[in-house]
Amino acid sequence: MTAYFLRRLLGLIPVLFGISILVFAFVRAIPGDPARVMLGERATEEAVLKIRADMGLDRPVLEQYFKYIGGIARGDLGTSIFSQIPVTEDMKRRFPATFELSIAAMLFALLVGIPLGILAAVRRNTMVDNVAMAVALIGVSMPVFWLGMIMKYLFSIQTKIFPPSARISDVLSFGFEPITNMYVLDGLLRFNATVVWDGLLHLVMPAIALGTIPMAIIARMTRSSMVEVLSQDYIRTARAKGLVQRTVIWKHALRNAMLPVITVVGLSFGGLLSGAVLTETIFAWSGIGSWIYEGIFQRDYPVVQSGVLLVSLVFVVVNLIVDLSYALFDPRIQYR
Amino acid sequence: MKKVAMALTLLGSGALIAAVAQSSKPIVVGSVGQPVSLASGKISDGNSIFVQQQIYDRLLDFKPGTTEVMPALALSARPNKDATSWLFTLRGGVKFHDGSSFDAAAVKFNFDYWWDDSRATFFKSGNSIVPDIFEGYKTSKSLIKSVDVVNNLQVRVTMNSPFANLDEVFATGYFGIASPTAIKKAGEDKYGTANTLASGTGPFVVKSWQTGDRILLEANKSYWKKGLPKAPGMIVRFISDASARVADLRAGNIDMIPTGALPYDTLPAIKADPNVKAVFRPGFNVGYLAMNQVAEFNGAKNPLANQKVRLAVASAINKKALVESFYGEYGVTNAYLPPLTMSWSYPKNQKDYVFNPEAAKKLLADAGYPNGFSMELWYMPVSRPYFPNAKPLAETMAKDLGAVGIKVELKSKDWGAYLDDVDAGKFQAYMLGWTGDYADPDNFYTPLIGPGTSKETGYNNPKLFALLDEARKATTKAKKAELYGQVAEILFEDIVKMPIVHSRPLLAQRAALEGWVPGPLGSEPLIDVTVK
Repeated sequence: MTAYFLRRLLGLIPVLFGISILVFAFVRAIPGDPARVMLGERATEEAVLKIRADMGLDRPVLEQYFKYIGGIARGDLGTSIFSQIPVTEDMKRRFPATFELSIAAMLFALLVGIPLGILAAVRRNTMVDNVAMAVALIGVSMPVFWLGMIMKYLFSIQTKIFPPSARISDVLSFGFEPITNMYVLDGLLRFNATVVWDGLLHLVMPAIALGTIPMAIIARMTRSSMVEVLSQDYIRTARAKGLVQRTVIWKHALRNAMLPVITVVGLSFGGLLSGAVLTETIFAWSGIGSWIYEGIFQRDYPVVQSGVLLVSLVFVVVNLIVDLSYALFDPRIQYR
Repeated sequence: MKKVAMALTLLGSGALIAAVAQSSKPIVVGSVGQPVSLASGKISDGNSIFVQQQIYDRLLDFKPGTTEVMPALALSARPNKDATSWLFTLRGGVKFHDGSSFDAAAVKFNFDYWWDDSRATFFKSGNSIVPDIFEGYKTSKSLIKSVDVVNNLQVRVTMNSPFANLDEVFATGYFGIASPTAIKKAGEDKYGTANTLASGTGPFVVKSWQTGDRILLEANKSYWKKGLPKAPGMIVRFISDASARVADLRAGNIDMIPTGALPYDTLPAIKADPNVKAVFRPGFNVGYLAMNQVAEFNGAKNPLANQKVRLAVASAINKKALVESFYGEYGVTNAYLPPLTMSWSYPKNQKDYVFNPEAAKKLLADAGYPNGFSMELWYMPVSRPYFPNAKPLAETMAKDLGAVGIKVELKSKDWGAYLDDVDAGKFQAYMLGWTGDYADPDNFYTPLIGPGTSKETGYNNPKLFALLDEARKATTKAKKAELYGQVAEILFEDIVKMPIVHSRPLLAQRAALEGWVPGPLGSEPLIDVTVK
């Protein structure tokens, strides 16, 4: 197990190295000149050339790349061209925002998707199954933007239950000192119930908007996996032994049905971290997705490179954790 | 301890916390985006100008809701007889937010910061707006000759040629007076970023800038306008999506949307909600369709190089129907680049291109294109006051042009690249526009059609440029009207940037907000605004 884990960790190095090359190349392939974007719509050619030289953008691309890689090796991701703040500082604020949202979205997806899938499988080919799968189909087809706006209309404008945007109320944000920059967690750590409650209220709608598609996928995956497991001999044996339905499903069937679901959860979670741009835009959630998005528009190379590299790192780490977790659900799996 | 200090810096100041705790309300503003920079004189985008209007004062200002100049940091601005020399007499006893004193030396420092490109650090601090207005920096062909300190409270600006409306230029949102101490402390190339912030003499002090999220401003308690600003602070939140901004306003999360422009299709929802109010900024802009006149385009003959073809395009587009359907009562179309508030500069016999598809077809046939031709039309990917949503407008124009045989390929690209390509003259036809900085037609002609724009459209008319030069130097309104009338008539025939619309940008506010008087110039300091 340990040897496997270390081998996988070492395997990450070439993956990340490859990603760094791709990101570096892609960022430079974006049309538009960072110097010109930085200087504004009316910049003179002279000003643009001077800034390009100052930023090292006039150097050969290979030289720029090795300088960048050298910086990463020293833990220096550079300074944002736009904000002049070290990229790591911005990252400490932006990444936890997305991480918090992604965890909430995944919790929603799991808490709704798995029971829905089980229900559909157990009541296969009944009205319950049809309704559950229709919900899943609607969920997977629902544009995040549309769902977000509908929720805002219903729950922010009409009923004023949930706030329409931001991570925490303006009033509360003054004077509250975050620790991790995940406000709900920080509220708990500071024993501040108001911040916890306010943070949760702000999380609900973005989490549902972001988690609906993974919820639908998980529901469908759980159903098909459960249907397969429920038809196996050992389930029939369990029933023949007189076990109650609840025990058969939750103890014997679900655990075996979870392996493909875990794979989907892993992939979805990585996707949530990188694909939350729309949700972050609709709910003015200042996270990593919008950070990279802004970086692209500002041609802020250090931000885009580091942001994409971080998301990629999280993606591969999450999938490594998923791979390692298989053994928890199926003891027959051994890592060599 | 350092962490605590940093967190407090990030999250707001003690005074603002106290204000919030006491339930006196800071203004929460929904902005379309974050500033490019807080360094004055180095920006031209509306998001930057709005925030800078709160942080900085300018030498002069505009009376609320108008384009009429009034004293600000300068008590007076007096030109000599031919407007080649201006004496600014400054207000005494004013302090910058960092505690340093405002005086003539500070004004000269700011001018050098904007204009003096002989200094090694000049270009590192960003591009100045100066060349657009004064034709060049200090070492190049600038209209400004020198800036001299006369005494502690007087500055003389000497021009190379008459400049009759210099007072208006220095009232625009570009030229806030920044603290020299703060610029030197931050470093010219770092000043005005999220890391170093900014220091002016204005009604609000910037406390933090959380990139991508918000800027926090606190009322300047030592503001020289006693009793102002009325609000204890301001939170400028960046909410890029227009429908999200409206939802935030209706839910009471933000108090006002003072910049940018909301699409007109959001108006019914705003009007139907008793808690919010639609606000229309007086129109002071133009949205236009530019046609590139270079002889060859993409290696082929460019039909638009022919004046008859451009006139055919102008005749084929039903501008009136276009503006009526997309802008309703909040837009007008005419043939002139300056908005209606400057109609005194229009020719005596005003006219516009007449929608006439048959005439357009005949013109095309006369020009040698009886079966029409194909062309590219580029539309903006972003919302601007003149074109809140450019794509459907472009589609309608393409449909009109298609009816006379001009097959239009609609294209768009990322905004930064779009502007680059406009500057480089890479577009055959494109949509763009302009919001005025001050109430002189020169501000609509020189940046849009002056000598500096020749590369954009291949248009180079020395006669027109000479007229523009002469009009700028003119010291009487009658003379200006005569010269700009001639300019407009030439442009009507040459059809370079065909005006499509002068719009009244749609903004909005909570009903509970009071004291906001939106002016025509894009944004204003919110010194009288309160939120109940």
